Amino acid sequence: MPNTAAMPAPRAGAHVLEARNLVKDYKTQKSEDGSKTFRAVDGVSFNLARGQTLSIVGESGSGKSTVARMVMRLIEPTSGQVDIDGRDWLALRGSALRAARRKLQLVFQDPYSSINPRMKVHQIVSEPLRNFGLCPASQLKDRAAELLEKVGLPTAALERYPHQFSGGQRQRIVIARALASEPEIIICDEAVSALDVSIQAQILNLLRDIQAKTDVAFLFISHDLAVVQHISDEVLVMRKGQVVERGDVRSLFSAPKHEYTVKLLDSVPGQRVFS
Amino acid sequence: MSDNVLEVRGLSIAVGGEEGDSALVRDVNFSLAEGKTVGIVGESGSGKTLTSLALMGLLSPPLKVTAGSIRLAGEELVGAPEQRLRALRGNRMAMVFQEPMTSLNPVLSIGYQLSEALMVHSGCSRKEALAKAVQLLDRVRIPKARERLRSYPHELSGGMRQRVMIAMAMMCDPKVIVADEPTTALDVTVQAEVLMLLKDLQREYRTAVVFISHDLGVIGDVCDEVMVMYRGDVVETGAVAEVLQRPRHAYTAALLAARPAFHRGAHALRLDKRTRLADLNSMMEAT
Repeated sequence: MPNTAAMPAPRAGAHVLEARNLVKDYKTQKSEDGSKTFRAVDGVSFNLARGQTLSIVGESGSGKSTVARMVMRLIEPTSGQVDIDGRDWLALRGSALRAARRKLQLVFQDPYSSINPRMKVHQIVSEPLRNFGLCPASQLKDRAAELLEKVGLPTAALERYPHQFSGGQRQRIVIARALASEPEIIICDEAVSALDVSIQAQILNLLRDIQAKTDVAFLFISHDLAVVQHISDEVLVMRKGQVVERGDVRSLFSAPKHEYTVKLLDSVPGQRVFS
Repeated sequence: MSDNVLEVRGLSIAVGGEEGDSALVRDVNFSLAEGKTVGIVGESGSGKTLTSLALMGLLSPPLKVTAGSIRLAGEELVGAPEQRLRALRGNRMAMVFQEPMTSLNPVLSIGYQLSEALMVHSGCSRKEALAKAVQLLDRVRIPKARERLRSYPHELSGGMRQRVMIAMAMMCDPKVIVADEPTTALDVTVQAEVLMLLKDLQREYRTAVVFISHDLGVIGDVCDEVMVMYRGDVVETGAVAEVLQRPRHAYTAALLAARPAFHRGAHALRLDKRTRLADLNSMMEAT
């Protein structure tokens, strides 16, 4: 089996995000082999082009969410390189980092815990605009209304509080907020995993429509292979911190090369009845 | 008397005294034979979990069964005294929940929790109950079963905990197991293993299973029959392959169309990124 993890992904021109050999070590008491570090992510590299979706699939403990959090700089990598728009993203500090963060936005799994229950929807959605100073105060509400329209929520929602909405509507609010700073990359960490299938379908359609209109790139973290197949251009399969296989979505699902990828595909339920 | 271990007729559930249209679950009917699995599939609010709780006599006030009958091996459960239900629960019928971390007691050992139900229901000694526990832990493929009796839930992985839950449900050789989203919190490869194990046990012990899930694929893998619930009604029922391959009700069709399809092999080469998923809500409004 070729060790694809050790090979750098091919270089190309229009990449909005390039990650090289990302590593994350955690200190532990002691592990089974006697070492005092646990390597959660072990040399992960990938490129993400404008308007494209790259998914990272894997099971619990694969390191997929750690990769996403390192790209967001919610946690700092032990080593490795991340470039955004060709600039060294990991070298940014203080106000320069703060200003650059507008390019990168997040959508988490649980829309209940990722918005402030005491803020009205227009405050939630316009917060990035205030935070990054992107819009005069007098126009904030109008801009919030435009953002809600993009995600299919009525203007009447502006004055309401999060608890007045369903899970699917809250995820729309989160997406509207993510769009506010006109990011180049949106990281979706299990963004549709907690939703009912009908709501999941609406949100997946919405994400695609947004991508077609704005050319935003998605880094999509998921354990659901059917969802990943539906949304992605390229896929990384991670296991125990390493990339075991990568490829464009068609080739990966039609001819998987690594035995773990085959095992994952075999485990997708319903193949007998839906074949 | 029929061969069915579970017979449900006209089951309705409501809050307090409300009936008719305001009921949360209306007119559920199904029969379940020994060794068979019936699935209940639906989205949040469809009534699938309320139905499962009603089967176990676990609805808490103000929720209550307002009409209908639930017969376990011929015995009527609706209106049965709590004392009788307690004698049946964990004994003739058992439940497996979604989250084994919250349904196992974190401060008691696996062995204690496994043996408890059998001691209560059969009056056997702790020693006899533990022997049976080891046998079942072995059967659900937990390595070093005897040593595991002294383990606590936090020392086990999610998949192992769910195996323990299944072993616990099997302790008194129940006629019926009600499993509510038993693999939803598990990784996909672990889910596949646990589902296969459940099927094996069912074949061996002839246990009937009521399997609640939102996942049509999982339902397709484990069930013989399926009921599709939508806003408190059973909108379609039938053999699982029939319902999933040739749905007759608009809601079932919409639910299937809203689901991202999974393609392998040559089918995956024809993926089209522009494919849109069906909007179930607008499909239902159109009908």
